[in-house]
Amino acid sequence: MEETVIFTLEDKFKYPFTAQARDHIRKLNFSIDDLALPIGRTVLSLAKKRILDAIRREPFAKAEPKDIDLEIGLLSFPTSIIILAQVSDERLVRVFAIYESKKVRNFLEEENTRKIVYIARNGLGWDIRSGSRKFNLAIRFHYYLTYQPEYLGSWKLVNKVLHDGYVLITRHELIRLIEEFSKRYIIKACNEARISRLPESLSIAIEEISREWASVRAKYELPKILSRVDENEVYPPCIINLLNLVRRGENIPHSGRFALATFMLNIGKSVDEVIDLFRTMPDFDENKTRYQVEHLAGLRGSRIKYSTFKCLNMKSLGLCVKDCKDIKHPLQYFYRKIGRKYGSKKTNV
Amino acid sequence: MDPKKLMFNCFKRYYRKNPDIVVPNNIKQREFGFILFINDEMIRHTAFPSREELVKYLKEKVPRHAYYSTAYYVDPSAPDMASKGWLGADLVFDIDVDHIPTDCKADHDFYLCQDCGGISISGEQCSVCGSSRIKKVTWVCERCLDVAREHALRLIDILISDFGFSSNEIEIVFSGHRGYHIHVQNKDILELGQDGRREILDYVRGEGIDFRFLPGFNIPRKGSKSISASIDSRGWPGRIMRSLYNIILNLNENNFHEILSREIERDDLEYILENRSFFLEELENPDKGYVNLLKLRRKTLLALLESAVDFSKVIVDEKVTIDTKRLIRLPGSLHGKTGMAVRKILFSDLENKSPVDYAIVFAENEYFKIKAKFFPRHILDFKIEDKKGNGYIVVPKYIAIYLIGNASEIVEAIEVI
Repeated sequence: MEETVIFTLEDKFKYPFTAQARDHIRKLNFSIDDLALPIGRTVLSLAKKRILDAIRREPFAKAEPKDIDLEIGLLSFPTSIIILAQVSDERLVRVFAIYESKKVRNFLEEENTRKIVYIARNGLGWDIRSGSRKFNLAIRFHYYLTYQPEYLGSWKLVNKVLHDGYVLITRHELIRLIEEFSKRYIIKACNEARISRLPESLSIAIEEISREWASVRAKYELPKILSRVDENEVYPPCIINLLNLVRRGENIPHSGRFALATFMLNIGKSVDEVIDLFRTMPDFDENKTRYQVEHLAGLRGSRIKYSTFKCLNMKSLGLCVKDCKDIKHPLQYFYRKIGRKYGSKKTNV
Repeated sequence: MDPKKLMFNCFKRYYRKNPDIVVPNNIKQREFGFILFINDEMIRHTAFPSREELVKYLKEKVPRHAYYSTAYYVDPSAPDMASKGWLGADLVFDIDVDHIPTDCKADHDFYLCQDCGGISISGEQCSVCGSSRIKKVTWVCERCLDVAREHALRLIDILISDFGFSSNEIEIVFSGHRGYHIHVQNKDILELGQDGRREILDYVRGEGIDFRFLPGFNIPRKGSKSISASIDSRGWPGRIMRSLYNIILNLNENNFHEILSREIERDDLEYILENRSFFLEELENPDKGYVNLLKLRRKTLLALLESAVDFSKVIVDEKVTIDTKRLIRLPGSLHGKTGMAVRKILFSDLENKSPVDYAIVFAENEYFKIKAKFFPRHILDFKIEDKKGNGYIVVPKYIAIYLIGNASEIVEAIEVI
């Protein structure tokens, strides 16, 4: 007989997007008018903290609220969504969704597999089969396809074992699928949340968050990607030149944007990070840029991940600024420098 | 006799005789599209409340081509895609022999010059006037249809054993021309977007298989290789091993270029041929380990495995599967290029019959004398011979209709005999 999983109030607090948690929230019958009550003020301040933690990228251990009433903690989740829906900044929503979903992943990694399966099955309604071998989990393929975080490499369906409608996955992959679900759940909830009136207490919170966000938004707009390595040491001169032009908000030609974006994607930057690079462009259009960068990353269209131009082509496009000795490709320059400086050829920067 | 008028009259008689039109499920939620004989414009955004209304329309309008949407809409007749209210779409695969290389193409395909009307065999430029405005005219013969059938069977195997669809969720339709449309109707895939559909598409065509990631294979650049996949494994790993078995079983000195899609070294080929029985035995009994297989150099082993993928992948037209708002041919309607019927068929028909057996409509014992500039040598099950060498041939009605429908430009005169 299968041991039953006990889904506690703490679990609902950790996984507020599950059916059990949402049901619990509904039963609490808490309305936005209640935010004016003392208990509501606690909910509101926790909701604000949740968003601020995300903006400030607080380490999860530090962000974890201590000694709180779990029901109040649970209520802070929908409340933060209402605040974000009112602030209505797509970028902030994504910052929050990514932070919260990474927190979910963190929690899940500490759980035993049975609990994770329970969450997927009973909390999200996914069709999961569990067995006892290494690839001991199987998920009905359409859930896999819907929440697949990437379409490349080991995530690609064709590189999985698919049988009788079920994809074999590891525990870790199931955690990633749930993380992706929670991220999209939050984004969708923020886009759809509507309130009929705006009580005073809530509008003060919205203002506070907006102010805080406005002061740090710029930081998100400049590439944070160079935090751990000194770009001047590891990027080839052509890429540094392009980066400088972009930062000054100068319009660079299409070929330059292509070279920069493909370079960054190839050294392991995420699509979001690369999009952020281009925010300072005078003609920046997030949707268009996203489409193009995803295309270059091989997530769209032909599914070919593009590489940067080789030096010969950089030269003929007028993008080369210095003749680097023995270098035939900008990426070769990068890997050589990284290799020398950090000892390994393909360090994840 | 006016060839196009002849064709129109044949189509008209067909539709008036209450043909077996198979309507899609939820007909009210489907968009229909038609091309008539008068021009090449597609009449879109049409909807029908019932089969009767649709059949009435076909009888009245006598379309050259008839289509319906693989998608379901709230309001399928809304004039633009945005206001139709997309509800979901069937999963559809188009197997078209045009996308699959076959050597019979040389027997029937040619190029027609848009400027002088000259015929060329190669596709660079017109061999008569040198113009580069040339159009490829393709035909199908039974060999082509057999290849398409082979791919349809492979696809259905993957849909059932890997994706777990049941046979009654899979509808098989002969397209009326060069292949088959395989429709899957299942609630789980209904709302799947383009990305998910592309993953399914790539799965059936083995696109992106990477032995660094595929479970059951460990073939590193350095260090020892190991394979735990076997002919009994599930999904692609098992399919690859079974193909590998077939490749090694059938390989010989003369056919290795055809059987292996990747090159291997001469001495490796000889080694495999000399030790064929050992290779087969270890593939049949993997418990004892793949001693011979793993002895091969990495490059050779990968070439064999990649050939095995090519041996079992399905070649399908990608647009049809990915597009969730696609129009597809209506079963029971006629294909305006061939005059053959688009036919919904049973799995046993796919296995045992050729479209020549069930899709030819104009099978009457009626013959036509046709004068033409050029003839394909072999179309469907019919060998065309200009016996007297004067540009005249005598063909049965279904071949005459096919010649007119597919390339009326080459037909100079036609009369009943």
